[in-house]
Amino acid sequence: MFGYYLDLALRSLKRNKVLTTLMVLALALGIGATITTLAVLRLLSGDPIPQKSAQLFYPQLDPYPANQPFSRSGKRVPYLMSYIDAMNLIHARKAERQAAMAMSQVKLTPPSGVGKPFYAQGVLTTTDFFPMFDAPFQYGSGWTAADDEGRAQVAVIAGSLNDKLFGGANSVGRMIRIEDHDFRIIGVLRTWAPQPRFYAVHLGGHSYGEGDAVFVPLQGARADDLMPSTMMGYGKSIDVEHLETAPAIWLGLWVQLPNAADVAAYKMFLGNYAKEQVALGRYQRTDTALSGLMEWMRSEHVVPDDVRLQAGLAFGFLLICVVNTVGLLLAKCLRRSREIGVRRALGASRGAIFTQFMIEAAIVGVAGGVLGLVFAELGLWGIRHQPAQYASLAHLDLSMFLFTFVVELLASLVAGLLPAWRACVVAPAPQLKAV
Amino acid sequence: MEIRPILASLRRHRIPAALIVLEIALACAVLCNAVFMIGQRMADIHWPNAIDEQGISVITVNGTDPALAASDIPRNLAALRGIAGVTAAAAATSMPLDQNPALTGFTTTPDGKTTVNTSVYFLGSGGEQALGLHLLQGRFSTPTNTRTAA
Repeated sequence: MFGYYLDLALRSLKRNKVLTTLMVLALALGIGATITTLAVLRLLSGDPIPQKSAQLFYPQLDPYPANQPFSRSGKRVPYLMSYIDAMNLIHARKAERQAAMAMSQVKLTPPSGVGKPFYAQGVLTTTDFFPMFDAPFQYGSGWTAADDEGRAQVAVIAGSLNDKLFGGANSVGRMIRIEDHDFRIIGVLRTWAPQPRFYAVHLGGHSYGEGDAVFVPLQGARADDLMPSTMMGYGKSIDVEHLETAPAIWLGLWVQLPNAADVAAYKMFLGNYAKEQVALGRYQRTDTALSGLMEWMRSEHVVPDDVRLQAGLAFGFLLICVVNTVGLLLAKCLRRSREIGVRRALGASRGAIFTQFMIEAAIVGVAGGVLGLVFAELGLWGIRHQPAQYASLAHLDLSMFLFTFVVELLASLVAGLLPAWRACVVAPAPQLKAV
Repeated sequence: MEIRPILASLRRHRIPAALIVLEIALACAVLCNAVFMIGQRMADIHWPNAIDEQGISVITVNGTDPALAASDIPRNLAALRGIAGVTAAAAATSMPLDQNPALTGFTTTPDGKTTVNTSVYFLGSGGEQALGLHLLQGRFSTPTNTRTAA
């Protein structure tokens, strides 16, 4: 029976070539726009580290004075931490792992003969960074807590930097010149660029795009006067030479808390720490916050609002296209009332007529899906040429590819519901009399 | 014009008429939203920022040796001024509405409470002409106010 309906459907579609083309085009445009924006939205708001994101948390403290609050509405807690607080929290060891970090634009001078100096994105951090974020190593490893305390001048570099400077060879043990000092390479990372760069929110640098090039111990880097990209002061003046003791926030702190009991315990610890600092006279506020990774991404609006708006608009456009297709399908069905009357008189049930027209709609859907994919690829090509951070990442992956077909079929079946129903309630008698 | 036959015929074909109305409504909604968003973006792009944007080119120099900066900067500025068509050249720390502002609170007394966020720009001599700034009150700094690096 299915083969028969298929045959009927194809024949009727071929007979009304213009209408068919219009329907396929309309659906394909709507699907193309929707898939393009959805692919970008999914890319940008995806979980950057799915195997661990439930265990990673971002604590916040408020060292700001009462008469000069961080946010005038009083509702936001500062999104960075001062050096003293970060080190206090780390040394208290209340979480399984913890790492403080800052970003810095650093000047790298290649070993002689390999090229001119260039700027690269650097991360100043502590020893737990690599195990906590599951950064994959190609050669070597990260540094130890002793290296942190001892202000070691060591560095972990990204695979892309290794390729650029050392041709991809095992460069562990070689020196790299960062700003004015030589650092010894102790590890090379495989390609690692979590999208979005969740650990760099508010620290400077881009949320999307290439990974960071070089990672150095915080204390070792500060001993060489490397400056963080972002710092905010809450005192009268900040002595940038002595950032560690200045009234300024410039570090982000991430902690790993394996289960809910740990989270609750850490929250309590944070609250107690803030109260302690108020008692000591360092703080004037006891506000604290502890956000999970995905929650932090959401509350800091890492995904540009534009992207959500575009997805919403594209969906509205798809709705228009579906309604359009409903109208066109309806026109096509009602034109064939006589044929339907004949079929019903010959014994076809209402369900059979309904199935026949649903299959027609499904065929339009499949054809529209193929064309829609072409439009989606075109749309993503256009996005790749936009001057946006995430531009180079806009691609259709396999699941979006399959999703396109699913959405397209659904859209065309929904579009076909009304015309099919209208066709199957056609009374055969008046149609036959007209013949 | 006889509207009643038109309405009567529409009433007979209710479903197609409803579909067309729905489609026009949706299309209007999407179009209005899109036009509004574009209008907002255009307004954002045309924010006035007190400088003569049309007439300015910004050249960013990174990574020079700090020890040579005191001699490099005047030499670079002299070279820029020598280019035909350049009416003024000056050094500045950043441009208005740039991505990395230097923000600071602003009070009228040393211990006052901050109510205004301001961004601070440090300009070399000739900065006012190069940026095309318009003075509302007071005066620009004179050469006697400025100190040069030793």
